[in-house]
Amino acid sequence: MSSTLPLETKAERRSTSSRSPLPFSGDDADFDLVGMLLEEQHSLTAVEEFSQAHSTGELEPAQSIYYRRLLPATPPEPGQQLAFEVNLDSCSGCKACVVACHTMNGLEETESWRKVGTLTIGEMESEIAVMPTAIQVEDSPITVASAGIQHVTTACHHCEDPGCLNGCPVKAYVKDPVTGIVRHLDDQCIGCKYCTMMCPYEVPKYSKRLGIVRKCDMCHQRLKTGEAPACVQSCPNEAIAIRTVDVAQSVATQSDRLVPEAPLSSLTRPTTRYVTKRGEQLQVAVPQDSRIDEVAESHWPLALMLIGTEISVGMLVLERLAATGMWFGGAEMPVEATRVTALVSLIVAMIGLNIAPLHLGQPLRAWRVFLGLRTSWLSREAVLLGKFVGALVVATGLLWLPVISAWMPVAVVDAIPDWVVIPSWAISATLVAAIVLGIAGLYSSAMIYIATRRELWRYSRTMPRFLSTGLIAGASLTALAVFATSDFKTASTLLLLTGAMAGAAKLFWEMSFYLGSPKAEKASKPESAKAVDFRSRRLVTTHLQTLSQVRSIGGWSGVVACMFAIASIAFGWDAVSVLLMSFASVAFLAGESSERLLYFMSVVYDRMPGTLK
Amino acid sequence: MSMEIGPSPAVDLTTGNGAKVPFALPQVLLRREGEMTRELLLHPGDHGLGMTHASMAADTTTTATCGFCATGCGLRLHLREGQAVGLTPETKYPVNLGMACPKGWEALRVLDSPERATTPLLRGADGTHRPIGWHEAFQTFVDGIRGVQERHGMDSVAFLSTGQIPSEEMAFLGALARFGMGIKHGDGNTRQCMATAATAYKESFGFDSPPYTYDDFEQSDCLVFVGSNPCIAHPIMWERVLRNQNQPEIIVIDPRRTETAMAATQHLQIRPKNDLALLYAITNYLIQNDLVDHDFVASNTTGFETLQQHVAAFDVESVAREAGIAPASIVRAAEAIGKGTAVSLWWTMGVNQSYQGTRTAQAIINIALITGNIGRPGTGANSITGQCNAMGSRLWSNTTNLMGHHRFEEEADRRKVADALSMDVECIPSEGSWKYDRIIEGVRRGEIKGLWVIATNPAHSWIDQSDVRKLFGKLEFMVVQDMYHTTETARHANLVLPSAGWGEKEGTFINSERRYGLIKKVRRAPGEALADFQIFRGIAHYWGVADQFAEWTDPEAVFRILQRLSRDQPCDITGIEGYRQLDACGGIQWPWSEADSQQGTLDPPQQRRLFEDGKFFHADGRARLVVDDIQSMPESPNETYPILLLTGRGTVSQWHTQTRTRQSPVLRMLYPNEAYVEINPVDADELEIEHGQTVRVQSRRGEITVTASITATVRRGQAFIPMHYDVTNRLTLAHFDPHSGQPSYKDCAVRIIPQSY
Repeated sequence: MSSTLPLETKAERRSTSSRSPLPFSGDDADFDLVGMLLEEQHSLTAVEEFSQAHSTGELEPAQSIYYRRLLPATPPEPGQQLAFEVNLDSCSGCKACVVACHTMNGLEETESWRKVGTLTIGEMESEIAVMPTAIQVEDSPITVASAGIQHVTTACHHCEDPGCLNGCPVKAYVKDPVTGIVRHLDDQCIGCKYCTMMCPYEVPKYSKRLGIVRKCDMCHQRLKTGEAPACVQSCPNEAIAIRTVDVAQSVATQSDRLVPEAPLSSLTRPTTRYVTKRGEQLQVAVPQDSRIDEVAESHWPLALMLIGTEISVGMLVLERLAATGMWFGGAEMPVEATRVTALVSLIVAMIGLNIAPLHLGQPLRAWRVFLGLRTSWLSREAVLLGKFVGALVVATGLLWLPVISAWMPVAVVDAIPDWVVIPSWAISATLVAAIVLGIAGLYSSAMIYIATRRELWRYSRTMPRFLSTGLIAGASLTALAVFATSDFKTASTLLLLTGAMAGAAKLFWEMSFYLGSPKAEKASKPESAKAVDFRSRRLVTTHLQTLSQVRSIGGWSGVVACMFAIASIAFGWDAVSVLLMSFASVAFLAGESSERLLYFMSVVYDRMPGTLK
Repeated sequence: MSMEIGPSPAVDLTTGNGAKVPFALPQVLLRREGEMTRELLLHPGDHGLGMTHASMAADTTTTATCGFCATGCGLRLHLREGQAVGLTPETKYPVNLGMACPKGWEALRVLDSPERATTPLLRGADGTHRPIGWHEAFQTFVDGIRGVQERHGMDSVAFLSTGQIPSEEMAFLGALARFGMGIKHGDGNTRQCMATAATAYKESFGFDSPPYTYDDFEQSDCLVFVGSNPCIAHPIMWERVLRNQNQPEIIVIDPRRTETAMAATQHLQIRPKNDLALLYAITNYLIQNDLVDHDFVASNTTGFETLQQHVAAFDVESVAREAGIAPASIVRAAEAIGKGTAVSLWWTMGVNQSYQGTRTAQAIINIALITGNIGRPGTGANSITGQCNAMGSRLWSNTTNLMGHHRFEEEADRRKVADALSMDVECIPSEGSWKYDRIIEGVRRGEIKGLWVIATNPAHSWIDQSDVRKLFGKLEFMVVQDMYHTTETARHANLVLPSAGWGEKEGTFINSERRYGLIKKVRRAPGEALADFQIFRGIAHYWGVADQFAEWTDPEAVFRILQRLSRDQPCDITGIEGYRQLDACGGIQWPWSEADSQQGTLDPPQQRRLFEDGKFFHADGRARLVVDDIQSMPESPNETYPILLLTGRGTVSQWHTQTRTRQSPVLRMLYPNEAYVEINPVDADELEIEHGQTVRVQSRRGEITVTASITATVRRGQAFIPMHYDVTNRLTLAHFDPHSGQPSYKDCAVRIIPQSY
């Protein structure tokens, strides 16, 4: 050790203030033994009695003697960036990097920006599995066995095209122009967690306490002083290094992955390099947590917001369609029907949009949401749906103006100058504007999830879901509104028929890939393309069984109630019809909400290797 | 990029010259600063700490030896107002060179836990524990132990201690119990980890003396690991292996394909318990091919002819067939050992925890001896120790041998010890204690009625655990002294005494390479918890033997007693000047006698090994070459129980029975929280078990429900369950090495059944 403190001479006794010999017998009544022992226990002595290993003013980090060669000598040039390089052959799986990251960065109790997963090498399937015999003796210096274990340490890959950054609605991510480090601005973050979906590597982690996500910044502050990141300086085997890499190196093939079962590197172009001489063995390795899936976060405020806005837009669309149909039939949609539909639509949208902020960790910062318009579908959705509600408020206001003015004191009405006229086309125009903005908003909503490029959230699985909800639950609600305010029973019947058919079609569609019994698939071994579908379906049929039952029962009850309502309308049982239509709406609402919860909770995706839980 | 190491000045790696400064939005739109950003700010750390988070900022630092395993890493404690606020591994400590494993990093965190025992607890008539004061606790302790002794005789009380408390406390316990309280039987949990190595060394070398220093990892050109997985069990030792610049041959003998086996150049994946035959076959090959250092054998060993005759029966072909490996792989390993210039052989629990462990360890020692691989850099037959103070327990616990590795049976030894302790020689018994297994057996037979358990958790860790738990129910009085009141064993106790832990007290640990390292008091123990040392003082007082222990006032005073006791023993430490010198030197390896210290004014060299002169500790100075017949497994797999169960360490972040490691949230993230069994893919397929599925594992002694982990790292017909889970030892078979008394944890027959829903 470095210190050269003078050694204590034998004659010199150490301070004995707290070290007294015991009296010889227990009879001494005045003597408080327990008090003395406790007092001794609570006096800390390390500082007064022992050397301090380092004198003050020693600014050069002591550890630098080990990590110098693990850092580049100079900052990156233009066209380059810093990247982690992991030597898999040196990593022995001790996981000191995880704890050092946690400790040296002052993170929360279970927070660390590094994670270590385990790969198992050796065949999993019996037909190919060979009994792992002892090593075949060869002359080569390295004997290779058929089986083994490999640990993989992973942190942020500081991607060339970071998903987190592209998705962030408030520009809370910055890709440092010099180092290429993807940094997160903690005070800008609104806690929407969209980056946790956009990052294929599960890097940003949400903190409940702070209401924001945090992530690895490659210990930017350390690198600024020439010090190695926590993980680099704490690895006993020097398996993690910082290297300078050239950017815009095209990803070799579409199927490149950092390690087996990791996300496709083409998604975000990660910069981390895993170096190994055992590449061929690792090609066939399997993560220890392979195919062991857990229920994903429900994002329930998001689910309800989506359902709400979809129904709201759907009602407007259906009402206008019905009106158009009637116009062709020579009739006219009574203004009362439009008025009530718009109001209900507005209320539903408002409920949905007011629940949404519950999803945000920092809702007061959310006004900056327009900043990400250029890259983020979340920004686009937020802005478009905001405008949609604005247009809808105006339309609803105009529709209700005659009603309001009837209640208005004459003095107020008289006070309005004559030149204030509301043109007759204003209502239609605002309604159409609301519909256009609404559909654009819904499209953005769907694109939010499609943009994550999670296999289960692909376009063909997402768009039909998001667009059909409004048709289904919107239909019964609109039918109810039209029925209650007009005598056009055909319109209501047609709307109910639409709802029932759309509802049934959607249920059959969903049954084809995740609802219903998985018997047929149980025997088949899932292969990569179908693998995520299989895993998702397995979650639905096991952990999410109750929810999937709610989904089915809600959906089918809605369909049946619609059919009965049609019959009831035909028989002229008005009260029963209203009851049935209300029931259908509630049932559809429950069915569609659980459909959306299932969409979120049953998602599985490629991930970096993990371990058994 | 530069690969140079050296004092090149620190360079800001984040500021480039060529990059354009992008347009920046104003702070009101883009908040780059603020409260949350400040939360993660780092500040220049001073004291060589580098950039430091505010939570870890230190007034000063000091170094203490880690309290988990026997690697004995130096941890740099960050002190603020005398209290440790955090730690980082000590850069210049000669053991760990600035690194630590996750357990070490979290050493302080595990002290803060709601499971800490903060007051003495007494079990009431209703079976629940209620807090009591220390006065009542001491009185209850004395009355309880004395009561049992009066009712059932002096020998009816025993104690079970540990490898986790400092040497000074170990010695205090041993002296107090055996010399003060007349307790005859006591043993430590080191019986479960190091007894075999100690027994083997004693017989072969004449003293329990691991000869190596960690520098040997770096100096060898051939390293042999037998039943040892340092990557997981001793990651900081593996760090030293990776620093070896000789591109060494690394030979691993292990039934599982572990991380260490993966990193080896040769892996002999033998069937379990074929190790002894394999080592004899290698020995035979070495002799037959004249890869023997005859000069060394002739002048420094006895028993070569017997060895030669004994191993002659172990031909490579038949041993290879039995072990399930290629004959050529044995030849290749033997050649590497025979032709290496600095060969070191290392073993851990795969050898020690075996019913023929002592002979297996000695077979390893034999190979080192006949090839002359001892006493030189990079050589040795080296036992890697388990617990932080397993060696302190072996030297100072005063149980089966008289403290300082003296013999109870020798009157001269008893007199020497009595003089050193200034105690009456009459208080020293003339025979050693029962071993652990015999004490447990004593409980079964009703010979032991009172038990005092200190810092160990037998209700979890002892072999055939259900049996032990049942036996604890038979005790009339049981005291558990521990940091946590929640251990499986504490739940059985009549009286729980709350202990201070590592970081809350002082003392010395002795690591694997014989290095005395210091632990320091840098945290206040919670509530009324007391250091074991203080508890022993209190007991001495209440028992009425305070005068006998008048000199035992504080750990360093006891360290001076230990020094006196070590005089003229191979483990002589009379030359150490005291705690301050231990601290300043980064620990000191034994021996360091007064004579050594007077040879110069310099501090002891940091890397010292034994037997450089070829002289061993037997009276004739020669090492013994010990051989024995091979025994078969008592419970081989059969049709009903077709699978052989191995147990062992699971991950780096779990320590033994997890009483401490499970207190750290971050450590808990690093290992599977539920027990699991590793099964070979082919077996799993035959049993129709899927990866991640719940299965039942049954032995003749019990059944447990665990998760299946399918991996080809275990061979067919075998399964592996980590020892850290409380269920594991419900399956194991109680059988022991006859020489060391160490339990054989790694061979019992089980069957595995998929859980039906």
